[in-house]
Amino acid sequence: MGEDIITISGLSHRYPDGRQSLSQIDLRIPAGAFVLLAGANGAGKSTLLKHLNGLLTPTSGEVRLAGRPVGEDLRRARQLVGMVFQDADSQIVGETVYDDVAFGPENLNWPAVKVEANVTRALELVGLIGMAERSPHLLSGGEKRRLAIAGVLAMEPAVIVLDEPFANLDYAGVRDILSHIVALHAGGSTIVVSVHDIEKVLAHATRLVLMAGGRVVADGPPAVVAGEVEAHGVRLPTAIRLGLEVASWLA
Amino acid sequence: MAGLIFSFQPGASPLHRLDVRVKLAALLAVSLTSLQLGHAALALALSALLLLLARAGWPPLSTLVALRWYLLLLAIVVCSQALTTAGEPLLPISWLPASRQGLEVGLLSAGRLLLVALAGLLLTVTSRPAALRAAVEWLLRPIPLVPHRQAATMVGLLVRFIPVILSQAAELKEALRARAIEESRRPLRRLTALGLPLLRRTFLTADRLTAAMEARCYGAELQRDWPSLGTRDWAALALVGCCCLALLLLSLW
Repeated sequence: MGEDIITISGLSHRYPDGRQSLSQIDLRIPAGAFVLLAGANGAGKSTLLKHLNGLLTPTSGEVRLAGRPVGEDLRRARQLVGMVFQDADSQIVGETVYDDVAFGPENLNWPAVKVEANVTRALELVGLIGMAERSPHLLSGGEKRRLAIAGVLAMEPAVIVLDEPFANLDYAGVRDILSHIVALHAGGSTIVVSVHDIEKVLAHATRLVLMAGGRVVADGPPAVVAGEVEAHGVRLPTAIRLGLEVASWLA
Repeated sequence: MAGLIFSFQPGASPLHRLDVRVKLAALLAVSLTSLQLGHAALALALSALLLLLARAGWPPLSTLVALRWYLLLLAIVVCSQALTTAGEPLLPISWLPASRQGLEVGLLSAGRLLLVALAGLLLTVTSRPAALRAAVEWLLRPIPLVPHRQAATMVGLLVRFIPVILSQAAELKEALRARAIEESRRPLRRLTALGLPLLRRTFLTADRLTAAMEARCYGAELQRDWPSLGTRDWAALALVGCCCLALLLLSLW
């Protein structure tokens, strides 16, 4: 593992209506890690992820990316941390697949040649190069999720954050997205995946962070932390229940 | 194909390769010229546009099928003009007061509207939406107090999200039908049962979209370098200008 790319210290967040969503979060994520962020609905996973690129501002504490506070340069933070949201349909902004992937690089004011090269590479990586001119509305659920990933990849992020990437996908769709996530990790990207069902991705994670009630309640190697998940509203994988090792969904 | 009306069709025709700003200027010139055209000039211009659409990959028959509802609207325009304009009776039927002059005026109005629609169709099927949006942004830039980028983005998002909202509405309708909404005798209840959840979902989608756009660095001023127009673009612009002039002269003559 490399140096810490994400450093979260004393992070707390309260919504304007007074609800406390995060309390005293301390986390250090080294470059190249594959972190699985697990927790029941309402545990604070999505809120935490939105602090990583400055979409939400902490009430107290701070988030640093490669040593610099997120709030100091939001453009840098959003380029460094690519975020794939749960609902792919509401994050696709382009009228065609190509235009959607080009949206981020164009916002970064990169030269047209670089935008085109990055869009082509990202579409190739997620296997959508043959659909560049299609309307995103006509894509399947899995293809839309891959398009959302391509839109992030084209911005050359060091960290890829995926919020519930397997939601509403069938078995083939889950395997497809999982294989892309694993390939991105193998390619050197730092991966943070938030899920409420750990079974699909546990075999590939290098670390499991468990959240409940806006706090980190367990953090460590998946094999160690997995035993505690059921106490915090997350289903224990059947393999662990039977005393077996969790197999990859890609096997 | 009919379902994809007014959407970009990839291709390598000379029209696809033209600068979008030239095509926008041509659309403006054709639309303004159409206001002064007579029957013969209009027929010539319509034929030329149908040929250009065919060259861009849209055969005339497919074009007309795709525009069938618009053509129906134009037919209504012709009929209403024929029936409401005073003049020489068209048919010897006393209860059908259609006039020859009314028919001529109706055909002229419908022809002009069709010409503008075909020119618009030619522009949109041969131009990438992003390029079109950027050209609109470029055109709005000199106008003070107009947030050109936001305006262009709004146009793009409207195009992108209309199908999403329509499919959400269809989903909601199905869910309501499954709970016997059709049996309800109160039309207002039927309307609010669909309208309010749809509005709530649309606002929720808008909220998520805002976060997703921010996450991809939307908001910073975009610096777009426009290449200067090439010989082909200037030649096309000159050709459109000459054609418009010729059509105007033909109409005057």
